[in-house]
Amino acid sequence: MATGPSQVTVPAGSRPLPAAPRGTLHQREVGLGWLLLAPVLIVMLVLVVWPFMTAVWIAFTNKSIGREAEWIGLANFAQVVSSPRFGRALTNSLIFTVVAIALKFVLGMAMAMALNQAFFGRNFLRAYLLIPWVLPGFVAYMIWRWFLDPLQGVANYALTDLGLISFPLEFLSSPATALPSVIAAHVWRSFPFFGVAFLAGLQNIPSEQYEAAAVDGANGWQKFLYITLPGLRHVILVVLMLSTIWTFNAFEPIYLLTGGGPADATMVYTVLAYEMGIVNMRLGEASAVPVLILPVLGMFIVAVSGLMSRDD
Amino acid sequence: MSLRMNRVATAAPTALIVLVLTLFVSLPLYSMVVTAIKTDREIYDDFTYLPKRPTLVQFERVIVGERFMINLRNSLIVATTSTVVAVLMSVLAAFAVVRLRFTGRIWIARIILFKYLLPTSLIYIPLFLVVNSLGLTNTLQSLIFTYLSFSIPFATWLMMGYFRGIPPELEEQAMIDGCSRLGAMVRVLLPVAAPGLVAASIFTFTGAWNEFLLALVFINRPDLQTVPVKLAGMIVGDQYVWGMIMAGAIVASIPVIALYFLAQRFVVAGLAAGAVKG
Amino acid sequence: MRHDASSANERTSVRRSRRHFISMLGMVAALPLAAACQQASTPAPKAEPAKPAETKPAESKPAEAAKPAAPAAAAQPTTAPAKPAEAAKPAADAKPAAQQAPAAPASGTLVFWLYKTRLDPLDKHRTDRIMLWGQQAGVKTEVVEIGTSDYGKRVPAAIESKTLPDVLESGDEWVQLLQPRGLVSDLSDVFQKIDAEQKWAPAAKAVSTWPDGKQYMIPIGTSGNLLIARDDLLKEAGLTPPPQTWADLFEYAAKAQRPPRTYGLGQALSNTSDSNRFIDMYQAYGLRIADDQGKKATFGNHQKEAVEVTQMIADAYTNKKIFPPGVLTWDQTGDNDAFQSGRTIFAFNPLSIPAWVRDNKPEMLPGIGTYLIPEGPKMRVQGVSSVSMSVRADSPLRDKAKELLLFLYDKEYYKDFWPKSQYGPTTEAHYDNEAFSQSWLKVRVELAKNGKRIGWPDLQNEAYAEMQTSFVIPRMLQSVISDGKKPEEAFTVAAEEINTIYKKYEQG
Repeated sequence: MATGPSQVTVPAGSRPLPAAPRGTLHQREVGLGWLLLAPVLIVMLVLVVWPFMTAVWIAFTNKSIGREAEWIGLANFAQVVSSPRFGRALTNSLIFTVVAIALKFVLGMAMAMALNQAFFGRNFLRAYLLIPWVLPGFVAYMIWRWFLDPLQGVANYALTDLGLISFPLEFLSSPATALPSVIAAHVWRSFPFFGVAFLAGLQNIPSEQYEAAAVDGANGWQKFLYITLPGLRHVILVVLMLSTIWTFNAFEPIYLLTGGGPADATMVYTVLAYEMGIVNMRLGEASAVPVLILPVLGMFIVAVSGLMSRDD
Repeated sequence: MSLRMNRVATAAPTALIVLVLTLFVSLPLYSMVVTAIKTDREIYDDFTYLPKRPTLVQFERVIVGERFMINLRNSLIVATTSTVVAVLMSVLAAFAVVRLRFTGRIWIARIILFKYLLPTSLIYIPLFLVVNSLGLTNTLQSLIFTYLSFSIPFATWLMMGYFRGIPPELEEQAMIDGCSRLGAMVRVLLPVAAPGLVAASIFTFTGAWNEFLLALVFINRPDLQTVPVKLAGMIVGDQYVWGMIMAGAIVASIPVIALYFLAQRFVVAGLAAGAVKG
Repeated sequence: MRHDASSANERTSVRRSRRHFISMLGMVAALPLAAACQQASTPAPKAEPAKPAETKPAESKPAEAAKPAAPAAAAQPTTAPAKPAEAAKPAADAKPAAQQAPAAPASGTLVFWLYKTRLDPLDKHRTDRIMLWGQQAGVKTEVVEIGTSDYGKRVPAAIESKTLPDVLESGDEWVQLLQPRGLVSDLSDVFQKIDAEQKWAPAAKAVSTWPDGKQYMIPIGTSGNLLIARDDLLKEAGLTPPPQTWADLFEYAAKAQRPPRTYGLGQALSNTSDSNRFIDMYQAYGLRIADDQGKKATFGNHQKEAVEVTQMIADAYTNKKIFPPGVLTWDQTGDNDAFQSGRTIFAFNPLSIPAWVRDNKPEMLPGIGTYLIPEGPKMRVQGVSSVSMSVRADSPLRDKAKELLLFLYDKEYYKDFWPKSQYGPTTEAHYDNEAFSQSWLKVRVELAKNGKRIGWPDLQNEAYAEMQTSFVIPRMLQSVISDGKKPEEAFTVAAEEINTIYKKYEQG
């Protein structure tokens, strides 16, 4: 029957879903619908649509900060696409996103499942494990920068004192370990978000289902696959879809930890665009970067949201 | 399998997960806490795992010297107001998309997600132009207003997810009993979707609490600065004052964590709450 | 089944607690909403009542402001006579006008963005002075402190929204960006006036004068990177500072370092402004980024020099190992942190390090020496930069702003200024200020006399600035050191990038 966070059995004798209303009832529904959407639409129009249109338009001009913009057609796009730095940045963005999302999903799910059980200190942990996410981004990433610092960081001191290394490790400055370190810091900061969303979703899965399955002889893994995952379906799709976009558009972790170095090993498209648009003041070129990527992400949104509204 | 064996079977993996996650979260946090209670000398020169002479001087510098409570107040105002308004708007919008039938609702819902496609680092200038033309520069309202656009898309989608999973029969029952559509929503739907409301509120609040770039650019007045701007501004020459920053970060986190601690009791709501029988 | 009765109770109790939670939330939310609405009804006026109050304490405690500095005794008697002298200055700012200042503002508020050094005595000293002028001149004045790292985000936003302040105090690289866009006023008249009274130092003149012969900014102090060294560690290793040439520098660094305790050259190779110091080395070996007019890129013609220098640096990194770990991703605080915790022997720094050491670790100060940047076979590249004040081109308060600039350049006020700051002198009148007898600041006087405009021998224009902010040279070095590319290959890529950049500005 219903597929969603709440698996509810409709008791016998209740009415079936009513047909779509017709006539004035329908009109009233349409009116009410738009009324309820109005605040959101107004906010979005002013704060999203307008800057959006501006950014897209600027991408077709030679706009530089403080100067008038002149239309130059596709010149910016041509330049961006032919730049080897852009290709590298895009690849890094992809790798960063895929790996980070996978790790966040696993850790978030584990966190939600564990915190759904009753045990001593559970309530405290529910708040404690959120701390990385509660900290301002600047603080969270600076902690990691400090932590991994080759000259003064705890990680290197500890490893040296334990006799595991004799020379400090450049976690953030060596091409092999830079991107993994940035990913680790980002996952540390963001996985609690997955945990909270999943935990809230788990609250709406009735325990009777688990008990019934236990009676039928299901083991833990089967319960997870056939009760938990389907029960969390909507929440998972929403979180995955949005987090993928956010992670792909991540700016702070890279900017604060490595600035894109060493030698563009961690450069992602957002930092590159920022460097071009704000640091170099060339908004035209910089805007071309996200505008190029926009259609891909847009299609992604449409595809995933299609998966979800199938059940409507 | 007996229920007791069941519980034991879940106890071991749960304990392992709890241990791993707690360790993972704690290691960098230990670095933060320890730095906040060290003197500058112990931070930079004589490295120690635990401070030989723990001190609260960093906290004093931040709270008294830097008058950090003002920034906490500002962040609290912005985050709370933004959360209440955003969640309210999102609930209405989600309700409209899921429960009412009219053309275009699905596409509207998708379009609002497009907000996340443009990195803030690039659109902050057009946003500043909007805020400037509305005469809102140097006000907390400018932040409250712009933060709405950050959180509404996600909060709307989250509530849509919850509403979808709750059968409309419940509200219909209430309407038969005399409620209006919106009345039914408030009395029947929202209580059941409470965990989602809390999750959406947590998300919105945290996002508003931690936002940096717009808070930096929109506001000049030091007495209106929010916490992230204040923390990032703790620089002397070209050097961060780590002790103060970490102390400030801890002070800034305490009210938020306390809030979550309170709120999570309501997420708990009990397994029985989610399963509404007819 | 079993749970029916209890679940019904649970349900009601949960519903009750939910309602409770929501009402609690409502109450909690109402408070800040009320507070926020309160704020809305009383916006700007809040700022004004504060201002006159601020200036009064400044007026009544001139002695206090002077106390921290040694020349307190000398300053005290001068502040009193200084006031009548100010009142006698041009324009109609007689004392009577000062008394009615809060009541009758001129035409709007004069906004001054102050370069926040976070050396609190200095920032306060300057703010007080500005507010004093505002009170005396009868102009509503507002001082906004901007942290150094915030300029990058705020100035672009201000330019686009046309909300630049009337007076902008900033690193001079910002004026470099504002002037071509016609956003700053011609300040040659102010410049001449100050020259007549105090005589500009040659470097200050060079920094402030544009190719068209005019001045668009007034430098408040000279700055620029210098070589700082742990003289004590060098002497321990049997070396006599300073190293004269770049090759000497690398030698000294290798000999005196004791890794992993200390490393020779704590200089960034990352995507941060510090890394662009290596451009000085390339230029000292004869490399040029562009031609003398700054129009056409000539970098591509200097493969020989580029490869030579790149190989020297790469060798220093990989074989001599004189760089501490982490330099490939340092931010602009990396070199400060490392030197101040005693982990590096050499660094390039605009003297923020000795200033910090003086205030936080004074026992380390005697062992620190400050010197000019080393020579190369072709020349010594030692650039001077500044923190400067510029006036917005379309400011309605432009003339008042110019008066403020002159007020801030009062000779007696400045005597107090130097000891509080870490800048070098801008005018010959102040060469002998006691601030410059400090061992580590002395070299700034030499710099003021002989320093060249930053970027020399190249022209610091927009194209050059973009080459720097794109970190072309640091990335060239990174690709050789980190990616293992051949210097020739990395050079070709960099040359291509520089060509592209300069072409963009060819039209404008």
